Amino acid sequence: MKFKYIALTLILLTFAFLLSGCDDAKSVDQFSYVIALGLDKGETNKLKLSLQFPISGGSEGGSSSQSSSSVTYSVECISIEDGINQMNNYINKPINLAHCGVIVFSEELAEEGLSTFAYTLTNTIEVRPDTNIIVSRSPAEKYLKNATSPLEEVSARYYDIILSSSEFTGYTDDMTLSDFFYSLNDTTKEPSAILGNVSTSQTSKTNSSDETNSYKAGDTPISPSESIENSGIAVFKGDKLVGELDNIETMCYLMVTNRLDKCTITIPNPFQESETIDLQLTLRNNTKNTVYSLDTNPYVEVQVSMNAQILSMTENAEYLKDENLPILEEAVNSYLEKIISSYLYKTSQEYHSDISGFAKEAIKKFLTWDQWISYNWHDNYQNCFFKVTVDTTIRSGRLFIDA
Amino acid sequence: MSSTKISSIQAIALVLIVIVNHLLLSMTNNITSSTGSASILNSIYVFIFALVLVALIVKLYKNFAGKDILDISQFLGGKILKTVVGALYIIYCVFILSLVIRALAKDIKLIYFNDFELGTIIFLILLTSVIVYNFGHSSVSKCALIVVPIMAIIILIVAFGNADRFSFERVFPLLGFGVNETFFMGLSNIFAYSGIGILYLIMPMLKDTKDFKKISFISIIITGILIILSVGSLALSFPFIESITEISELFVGVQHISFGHVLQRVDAIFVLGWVLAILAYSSVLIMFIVLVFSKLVNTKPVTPMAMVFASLAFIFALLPKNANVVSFLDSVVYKYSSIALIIVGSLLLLIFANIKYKKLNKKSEV
Amino acid sequence: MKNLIDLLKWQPKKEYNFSISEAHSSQDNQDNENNSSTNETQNVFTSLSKNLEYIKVKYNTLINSDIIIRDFILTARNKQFKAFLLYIDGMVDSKIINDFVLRPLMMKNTANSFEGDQNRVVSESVTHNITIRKVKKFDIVEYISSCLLPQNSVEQTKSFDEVIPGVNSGNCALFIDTVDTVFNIEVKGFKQRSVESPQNEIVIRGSQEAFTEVIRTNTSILRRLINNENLVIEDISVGKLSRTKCGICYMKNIANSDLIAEVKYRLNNVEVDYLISSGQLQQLIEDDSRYSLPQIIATERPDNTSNYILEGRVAVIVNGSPYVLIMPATFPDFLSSSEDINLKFQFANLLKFIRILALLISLLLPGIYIAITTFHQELLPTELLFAIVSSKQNVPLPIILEIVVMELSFELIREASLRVPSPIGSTLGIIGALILGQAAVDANIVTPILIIIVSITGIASFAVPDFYMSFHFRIARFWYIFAGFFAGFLGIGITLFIHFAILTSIKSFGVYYLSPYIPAMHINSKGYFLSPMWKREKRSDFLNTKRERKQKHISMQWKYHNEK
Repeated sequence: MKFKYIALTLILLTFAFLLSGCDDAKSVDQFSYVIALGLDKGETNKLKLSLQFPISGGSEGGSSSQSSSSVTYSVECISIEDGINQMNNYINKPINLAHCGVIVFSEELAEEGLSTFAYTLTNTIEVRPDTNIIVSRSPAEKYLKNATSPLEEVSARYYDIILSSSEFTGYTDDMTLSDFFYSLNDTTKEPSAILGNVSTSQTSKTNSSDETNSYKAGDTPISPSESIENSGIAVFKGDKLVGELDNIETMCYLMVTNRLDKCTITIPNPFQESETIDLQLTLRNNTKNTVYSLDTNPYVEVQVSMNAQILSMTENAEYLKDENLPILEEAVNSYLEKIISSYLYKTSQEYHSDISGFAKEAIKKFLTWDQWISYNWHDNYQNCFFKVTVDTTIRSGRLFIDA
Repeated sequence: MSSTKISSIQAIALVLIVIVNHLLLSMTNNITSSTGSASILNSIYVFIFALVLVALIVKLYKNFAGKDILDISQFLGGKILKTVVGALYIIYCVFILSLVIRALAKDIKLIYFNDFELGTIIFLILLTSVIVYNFGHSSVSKCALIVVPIMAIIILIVAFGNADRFSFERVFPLLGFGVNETFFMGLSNIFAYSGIGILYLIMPMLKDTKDFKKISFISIIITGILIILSVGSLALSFPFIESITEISELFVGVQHISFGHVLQRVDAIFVLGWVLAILAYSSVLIMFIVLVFSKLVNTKPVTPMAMVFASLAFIFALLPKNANVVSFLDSVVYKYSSIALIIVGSLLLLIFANIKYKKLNKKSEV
Repeated sequence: MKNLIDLLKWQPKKEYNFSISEAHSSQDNQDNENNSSTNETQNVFTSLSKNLEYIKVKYNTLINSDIIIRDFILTARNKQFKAFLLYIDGMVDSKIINDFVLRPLMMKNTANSFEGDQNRVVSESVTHNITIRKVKKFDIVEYISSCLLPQNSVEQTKSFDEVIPGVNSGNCALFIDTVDTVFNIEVKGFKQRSVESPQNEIVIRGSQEAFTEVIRTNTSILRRLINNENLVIEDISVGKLSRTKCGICYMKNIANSDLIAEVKYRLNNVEVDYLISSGQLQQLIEDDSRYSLPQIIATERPDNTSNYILEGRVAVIVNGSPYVLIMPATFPDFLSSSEDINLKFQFANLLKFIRILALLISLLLPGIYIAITTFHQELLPTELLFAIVSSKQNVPLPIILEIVVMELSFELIREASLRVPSPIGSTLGIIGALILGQAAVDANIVTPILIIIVSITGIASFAVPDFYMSFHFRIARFWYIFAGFFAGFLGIGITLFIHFAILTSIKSFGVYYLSPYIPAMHINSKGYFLSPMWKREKRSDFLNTKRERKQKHISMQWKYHNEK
């Protein structure tokens, strides 16, 4: 009988404990969730941290449209944690980074080196490793503030969508914090990031050739402007930004690293002067990279094989005829070879940065780790010679076979 | 608390639960950091070595069916040796129990429960183990039997969930830090198989001692597969970085898994499995500690003993000052104490006991 | 104070440890199977005592309570023969037996009056002063059949093989001394509740018959369904005052003898004054009454019961209760519906899978929801998280209170709608669920997503087939809610592990609760998921039955006959 009372007391105590615990437990609405984080070089301080929060439309009357928009706050601070602390003080709700979709660095900051930030952010358990890394040519704060699209409500999903567009354009790559962090420490690859900008609609260059126009982020002549645009890749050497690739070079990068899903190119028509042909490319086989002769001048052979589909059509075009097909394929091949080798030499001679990861092939030639480290691939990369062979097969056109 | 006999599948589960937990915590870190890019090669090599070792143990055990390491040491060196071996085993078990719980509690606190005291988490885990111990030995081993498949599935999910990140160039350079490091020094990675320590203790609990051979081999083969898969998947999906060790590589692996747009963050589910595994682990270890102890002092195993050893483990778990000490204990002390006691010490004991057995037999024949 | 110290003192546990031994060797097993095959062709003996002996053995009349053997003297043409009637109480109409079987056989009447050795004259003709009489030799069998049994359906047979099924189905058998023929007289007349379908275990494909309150009716239903003489129904009365009749039903040649003995032992050693329903008995003979887990199956379906009995389990019928107890029971049994075996295995397995989902949802969903919203927000997809946040902002209650209040009011609605008369019940459900829920959301007392969680949990708990089991989940759910609130997935993991430990430690009549999965034995056909019908060759291993196989290796002989 006594036991009963003791049990009862214990249960009551537990409930008392429970009710007192109610205050401690943080329920889901007591956090403010960050959907994007931006880092700029500060004006008065070391850093300028920008955080984008969603404004959950205070569903008064349960408005179905849920017109949630976002708000971006910025703070000058010494470090990320310091900035978050100050922001905590301002917002009065603990900031939670678990749902942060993108991290934006300004170009200026990236040129100085991102090592500390990459380590800090990776070390923060809340930040997901698959958060995307963007290097913005405009200030990160501006980038976040302009992250609006009339087609999409601004929220984490917007970032998901704009970043997954690379799957069908091939204009940029889906690069995450963990990719960045690991290639920062990896001996086989240099880091890279998505290149972003706020589009201004004033293109700096006029392009009149018969090829696909190559633009970097923000240069694309699209109107209306003042929205964000991701196009191209930011190339790092170590943790420092050394250069930027435009959209065509990004395509080459994807081809060489064997990650291309689908892309569209425009080449001069070999049959008709001043006409163009549009082709959609997919990878046929895995790209084969081979590294020969590991002295100071490594020799790299890149074999790309593509499938192509002709998208454009003109009068009297007989692209798929037996005698025309090799000519067309040859045209595609030579075009691709040209842009790929120019991309490769740009990375090696201009940027000295092996973002394509040829080191992964080179490392196969070594038996032990010490040999590999002492060879110092990344210093030798700038002396690389490249041989690019492209083998394209044109599979089909669209509706018309001949016109 | 009748120590009911256990079936052979339960015995396999008991061996596996020990290894699974070490796998979850730091074993993969230890293996990859000591062998670099050759870690897959090394783990296959160590696996073969472990198979040989187990074959040896099984062969040596032939003359001692139904006896555990304590009986054997009593046979070899009388009561004194038995006490020494038993005490060593108890100390070792309490040590790794507190170590593993501390390491896990630290990780869980870091990841999810920043508001919790470290002691609270450790206390909850040990309390649960004692409660479960109260349900009896067979219940403990059966719980292990439930948890092991769950954990095996989770480990497989982690191993193959990262498949799209696999890059097979990461096995190069083939020999890692060199032949010496991979094959000679790398042999110390046999500590990963310290779960076979359970094999030394399990014998009297078996329903059918003839199954011992089957149990040993199956458990070691499953262990090997799990170790190779998890080491392999981590070595293939992440570049080897000398300077960095994460809290648990497997957790880092989980963080990178996402299934489509909705199931992006599965790591909390992993933590749920993790908690189950550590609970099973701590109750299994407490069970064995109490078994060994009760055998030493010739009494029946009872719940208060479990409480005593759980409190001991609690105290030991709180002793290390910071994470660095824990990781030192984990990567060095645990590694070499396992090798010394489980792999080498017990094997030597067995060998000597066999020699003595043969001598005695010869005498009796004469 | 002393009590307090006693409480803290450790006391050794008193464990009741019964397990089913595998004592029955394969030889025994074979004997059994051989017996049944040789007995098939046994003919009726001419000696009545031999017949009686045979029947007694066959029907276990010493312990079988409802097998009636009525000895009497049959009078035919003034000759007296020893005879006995064999029938099963409850299956026959005793009025018919009295008036139309026993009366004509025992009464002396005119037809009976002339002497036995007189031969019946068929025709008589006188030629040359010699009287030629065509005489038919007296044939007792023919005589009885044509003169003494005023019954429409009487069959004569010479083999037990034909008699026993008749008796099992409610006929009575007339054995007569010196005669090797048996009369199979139809006197069927079991009482039936005007065909009533089960109230709580409703199936689509399956018999629509349910047990009633009267034990004899129930036994007769079982007899009819099982239709085998090895079915033993033993009577034991429980309760000093009420002396409630309980029938222990089992297949003598299938069920494990240890199990039978254990059930009898427990029933015999229940010291209560009265026992009215099987629910009370269930609580008295359960292995471990500390936990809310049911350890005995209660069913109102005869087909279900017969299946279990034929599988080698023991059923206990309590007079006055339409629910029959079946033991031992394992965890998977409580998630099986009696309909499963009537369905093709693909359908059944889909349903069984859905029931596992229902189990997990009804047990864990609210707990996991609270764990996620309190500790693991990053687990939610971002969009969903923002949806929850925006709906939560105007709600003043913390989530734990919200969820406890909602769960409690759900239980309240459930309980209240049981009490009210059924026409009002549906109204109450509508008021409770729709109007209150909607109003609570509109008034910002609870979040809409919580309503969804609680309703899904409620629906899932109805999908668990067994009433007791779903009760257990309802209770356990609160533990998970609190655990999730206190320590997130750590708490849920701890609770789950203790739950595992409880499940693995429980035994139901010597069978581990999680059999056949834990302890992993050789899992033959009877796991949780069903194999195709033709593949279910063996009985459950954990029952240690005397007959292991329940169908031939090739059961579809019509198809694969030639291949053998």
